Amino acid sequence: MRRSTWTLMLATLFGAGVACTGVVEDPASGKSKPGFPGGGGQQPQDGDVGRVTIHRLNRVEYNNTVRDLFGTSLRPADDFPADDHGYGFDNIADVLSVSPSQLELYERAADLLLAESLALPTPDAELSQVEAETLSGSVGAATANGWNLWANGEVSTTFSLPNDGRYVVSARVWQQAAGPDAARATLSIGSDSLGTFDVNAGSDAPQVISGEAQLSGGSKVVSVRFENDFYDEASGADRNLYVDWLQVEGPFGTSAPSNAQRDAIVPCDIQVEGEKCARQVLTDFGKRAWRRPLTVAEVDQLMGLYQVAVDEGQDPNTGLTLALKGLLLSSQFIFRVELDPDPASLEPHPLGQYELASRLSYFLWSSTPDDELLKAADDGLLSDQGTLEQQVRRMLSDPRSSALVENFAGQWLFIRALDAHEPDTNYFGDYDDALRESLRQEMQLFFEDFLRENRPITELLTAKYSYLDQRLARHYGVQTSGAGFQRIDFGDESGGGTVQRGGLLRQAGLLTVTSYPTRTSPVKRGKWVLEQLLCSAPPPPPSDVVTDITSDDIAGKTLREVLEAHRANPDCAVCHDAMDPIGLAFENFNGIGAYRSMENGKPIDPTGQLPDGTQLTGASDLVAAVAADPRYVGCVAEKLFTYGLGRGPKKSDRTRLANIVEAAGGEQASLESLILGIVTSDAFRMRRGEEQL
Amino acid sequence: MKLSRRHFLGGAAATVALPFLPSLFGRSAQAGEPGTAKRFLAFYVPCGIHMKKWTPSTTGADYQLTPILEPLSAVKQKLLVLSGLGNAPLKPEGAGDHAAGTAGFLTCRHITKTSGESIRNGISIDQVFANALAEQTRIPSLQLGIDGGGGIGDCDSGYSCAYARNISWASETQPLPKMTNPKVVFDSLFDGFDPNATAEAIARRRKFRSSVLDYVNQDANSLKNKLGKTDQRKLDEYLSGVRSLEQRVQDATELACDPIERPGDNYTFPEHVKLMLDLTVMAFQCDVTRVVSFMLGNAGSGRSYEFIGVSGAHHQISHHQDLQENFDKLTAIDIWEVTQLAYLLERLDAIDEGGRSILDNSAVFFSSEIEDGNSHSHFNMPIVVAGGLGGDLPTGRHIEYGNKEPVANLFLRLAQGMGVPQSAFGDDGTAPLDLG
Repeated sequence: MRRSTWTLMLATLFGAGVACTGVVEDPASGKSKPGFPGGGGQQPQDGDVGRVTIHRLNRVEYNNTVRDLFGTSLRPADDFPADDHGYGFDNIADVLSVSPSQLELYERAADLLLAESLALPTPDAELSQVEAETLSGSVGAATANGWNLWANGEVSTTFSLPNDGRYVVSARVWQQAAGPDAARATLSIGSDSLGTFDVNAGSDAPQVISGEAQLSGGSKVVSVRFENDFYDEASGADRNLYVDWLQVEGPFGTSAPSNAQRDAIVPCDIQVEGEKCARQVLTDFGKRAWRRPLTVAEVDQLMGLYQVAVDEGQDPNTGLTLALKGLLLSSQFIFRVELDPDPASLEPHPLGQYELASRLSYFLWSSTPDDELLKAADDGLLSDQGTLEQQVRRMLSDPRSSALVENFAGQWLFIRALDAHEPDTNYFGDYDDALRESLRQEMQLFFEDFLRENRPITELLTAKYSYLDQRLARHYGVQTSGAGFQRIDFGDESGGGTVQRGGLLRQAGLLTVTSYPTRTSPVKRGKWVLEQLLCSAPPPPPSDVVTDITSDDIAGKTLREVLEAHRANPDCAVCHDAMDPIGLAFENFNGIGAYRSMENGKPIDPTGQLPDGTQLTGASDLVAAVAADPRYVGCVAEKLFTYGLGRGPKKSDRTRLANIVEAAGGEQASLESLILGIVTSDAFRMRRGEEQL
Repeated sequence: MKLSRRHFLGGAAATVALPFLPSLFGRSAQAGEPGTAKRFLAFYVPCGIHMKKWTPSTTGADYQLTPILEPLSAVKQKLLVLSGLGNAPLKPEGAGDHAAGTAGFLTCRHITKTSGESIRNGISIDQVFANALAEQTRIPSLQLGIDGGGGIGDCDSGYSCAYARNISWASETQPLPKMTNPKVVFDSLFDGFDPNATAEAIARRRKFRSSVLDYVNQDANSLKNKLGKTDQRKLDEYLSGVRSLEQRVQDATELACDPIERPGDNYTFPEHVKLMLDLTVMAFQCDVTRVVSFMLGNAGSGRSYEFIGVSGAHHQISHHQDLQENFDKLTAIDIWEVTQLAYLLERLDAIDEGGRSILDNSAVFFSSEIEDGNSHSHFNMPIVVAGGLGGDLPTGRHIEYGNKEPVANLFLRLAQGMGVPQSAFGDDGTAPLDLG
């Protein structure tokens, strides 16, 4: 297709509403003139590279970033307030704001992350205990629950200590009282006495005597010695010491096992090297956290926090923790910063290497650049188109690119809407959380194919296969065997295969989220196709018009009959002539996407006619018509562009997008070729300042 | 025994369920005379109200509660039912009444239609109060809600979700997103409380926090100098967050209240609502904040009320087409919503503050983003104001204004009662509403 045609097709894509007649409404009309960023009266020229507002990490980006920085499985941003959306995505810089409560949550997140990853390794202390009745003392005898030292003497045993460290040694004892004094017991480990204790407790409530010692690893003898035997023959008064058990707990505060998270961030011994080590960590980890090298002055400022803690008599690790908290709470971490040499100049300039690296990683991974990407930026290689493309391919084949499934497809294809959609179980008793999960996975696995395999994006609509598990296969009335998700080929309709399924538009997840809780909505389904696949949103209905259908209306009728009555009104027909036939073609799928041939006792008629005269015999024809519509590939490009830059598309992007689509292969374009086109476009690689009023 | 707030909960200790402590007497020293603190709460419900079962048939003190208002019978004497107030600026460009009605719910401003760029609203009345009372409490205001987001696509007819999800706005451009996780709200209210910390450890912790905040403040200010105008605005949001946090860190007053147990993670929708309302009561009682806004749902919510036997999505039902079946469903939903309000009001009324209850010292504004789901009108709004603002509001009556007065004037009247008089508010607030 010639470029001019793409431009023409894309011409209908912009603006808040495209009237159904094809006339582009000017979104800037009336009082609500949105204005050019910068607020000046000047309108951007075609080809303007635009500018992206300083971009706060959204919740997903924050979680992924700390995952990649710390190797943590904590997801602190799950507690942050929900991110607002613009243009259908939650990564639009203009709508990502910061509230006071958010700062508090950032602080808590930093504390949590650092507590986990900077903790000095303290091995789990072990406790070993030996029952005294199993031993043999120098005097006395075993009883039912202890050892009776009936004369001065001791009971002892040997413990094997795993490591050097501080240990707590204890024994549980009681006395048989006699004479003026309490029994006295000395607790020892090796040749060291840990103290001599008065034992006042009787057998009804024994007491624990204990002491601490710094010990080296290896075998140690622990003993309890009875010091003051007493016996009065006349009265028969006999003082004895009973020992229930002996135990050792530790080691505490050793450095034996390591904290892998910590080792990745702190390669030096902070407690010994102090400031030098802290400086190294702030320089190296700081570069990863801020996604660019820190200046010496910046490291100095962070070292100021280190010093605050040390001046308070805290150890160097506490100082480092405080400095890292400053790093994580800084606006340079929370925002993706891009600077203009002159913030007031509208002259485009190339992004800095590190700025470009961040754009790339947050587009493809929703996360921070990895070391390889930062290295390419160090070496200034990202201004080279070949290197840039090579990085894109590398990053797309990295598992982190599944962020595009989760976040881009999740929002573009409404997969995420499954979370909140609650079909009414009075109408759809089959629906439950397990089915919801299967619906989600089908859509995700299917989309992921297009990310992993360089296939035309049109096949997203026309593919003849999908991924089903047992639950979904039952929902679809398809035979499968085996556990988990399997690729199922539906076969060709002409070959007598399973006619009802194939492609995104006939996946039950999408059919579910474009329905009401109690019934299908051909209007919603039609509107979804127009908005999400053709970027030709119909304008909203006039606000004084009745737009809904109740069960009274539906009684005894098919939705088709109801909607036909509605389209008799010319005010409605102008848009519904475009929406309804699309949705009606899917009427064979109920409100949770299960196949049906009857509705209210009448056979379903999925036929129709599009405004351009295309005749539809059902969903297959509709799918073919959308896939063949040149607006479709342009629309995919526009959605990717919006998501990739984190800003809304503008009229000044029209030619650029047309060029991207054409270079990506037009109707043969794949996700990868479109992403490459976007990444190598000037809008992605350049920015400009804005008028300062 | 003297409990310092910082002696209560802290960091990891916050994971432990709190004991139900006996209430300590008195309020913090900076709270002014005991029992005089005035509070404001905005209570938002989505999708309008079924007005036929809402509006009392007569005005004055002798009015009869209608089916939807009936749950409020226990606090009837402390209510103002206000009919015929309009919020004309909220009429959107074409469709989008839910988003425009929500964004303007507390701002009374006509908003700029945009999917994202150049968001423009105005400061909301709760934030006017929060700014005026900021010095009085540790947290200037709280924004609470049930539905965070997770929404998909455009929120409403070309209006950004920022409009459809936020009723509190710190400025023309800064929506204040709400907290929806009860546990997070709880931790916010009792931030830094650690019953076991020594005075020295508390002092050190405060010093460390302040040092970090000083650092990020300086760092952000030097960054801001290198940025263009739009980016500077984002940095200003960040910086005002830093300042607000600094204030919380500095403030080490005592706590005088009964904390509820730290909420868990599992709750149904009704339990979620109750938790948020309990937290609101606690926030007021503990005088952690005096300004709260609460959204029972987002604009045009499609929530299912199957748990009270109402099938279908709220928004879908609210387009009732004058069908009795839908009227019945809406009435049931509205009664449930007002029952939640009644629960809150009764709890606030049960806490005595020296002769007056917290409710007596508060103003609770209850309304929706539109009048009715079919018409999407912004006139004859369903409005209840509860509480007396310390005897300032002549409650116990139903008043009809015949759509000659704007909601903005009601806010001016409440501002007067809050002791924060304004000369004008929103697009059409010119003089305090006459409450008779």
